[in-house]
Amino acid sequence: MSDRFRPAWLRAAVLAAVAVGVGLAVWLFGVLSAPA
Amino acid sequence: MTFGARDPAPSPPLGRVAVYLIGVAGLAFCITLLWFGMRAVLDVGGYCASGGPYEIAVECPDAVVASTPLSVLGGFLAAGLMLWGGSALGGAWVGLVFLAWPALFLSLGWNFLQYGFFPPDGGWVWSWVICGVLFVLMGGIPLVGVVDAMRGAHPDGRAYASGRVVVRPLPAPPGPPPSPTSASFDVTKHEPAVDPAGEPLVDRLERLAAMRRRGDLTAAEYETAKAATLAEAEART
Repeated sequence: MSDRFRPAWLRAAVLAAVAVGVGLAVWLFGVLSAPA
Repeated sequence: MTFGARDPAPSPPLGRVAVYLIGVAGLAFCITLLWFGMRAVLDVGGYCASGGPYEIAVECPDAVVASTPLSVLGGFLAAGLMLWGGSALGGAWVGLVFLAWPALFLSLGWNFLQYGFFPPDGGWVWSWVICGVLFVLMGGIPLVGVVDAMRGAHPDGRAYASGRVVVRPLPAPPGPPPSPTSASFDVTKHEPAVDPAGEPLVDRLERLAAMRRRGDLTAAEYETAKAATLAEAEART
């Protein structure tokens, strides 16, 4: 399946974008949930 | 006919790549935020409210009030960015946006199942378990279809996404009419340049009949051509 997702750098960039998105959400929800 | 050699794919426009990646990150961000928000609601009993003129039995946590509208509206926006940016990158990349549906329902279904079997107050909450099963089905069944499509079950999509060029024979053109004066019409000589093995026998016979009806072939030429076609087909089998 990986040959359908070329170039390789874009594959890596998509995975990195997912990680960034999830990380930002974890951080933001932590900030919002923190007791004032 | 498929030419297996891959042409070097042209570099995708960086602006559209950036938009696509922002969409990917945004969608991951929104689904994760919604996932956390749902868990916060399940933590307070599964329902809550905020604002409005009524007396509220269970106040929503502040984080839920802030994050839920953002995650829902932002999710649609991010999916749109993925579609627009991905449309410049190819079918496989733009198709990734459809993974958002299974990701959303499977992750929220997990929350339902976890809190259904292990709720904060102990015991089982069957309504959450039922919701969890439904969500897992709603996410899992489409996931099978998305993965199937990505694995190349559809030749056109695969060819497009991998940069291959697929060329199929065109329907047989009428071609130049054969000379009606030739006494013995050689079908192999006058046929249009189409791979004979690629054309079904029925199609060839129908084409000859059409040529006869148009008057391109005399009765004798038609019979000769038909016999030659049948003999050739018989020889091949």
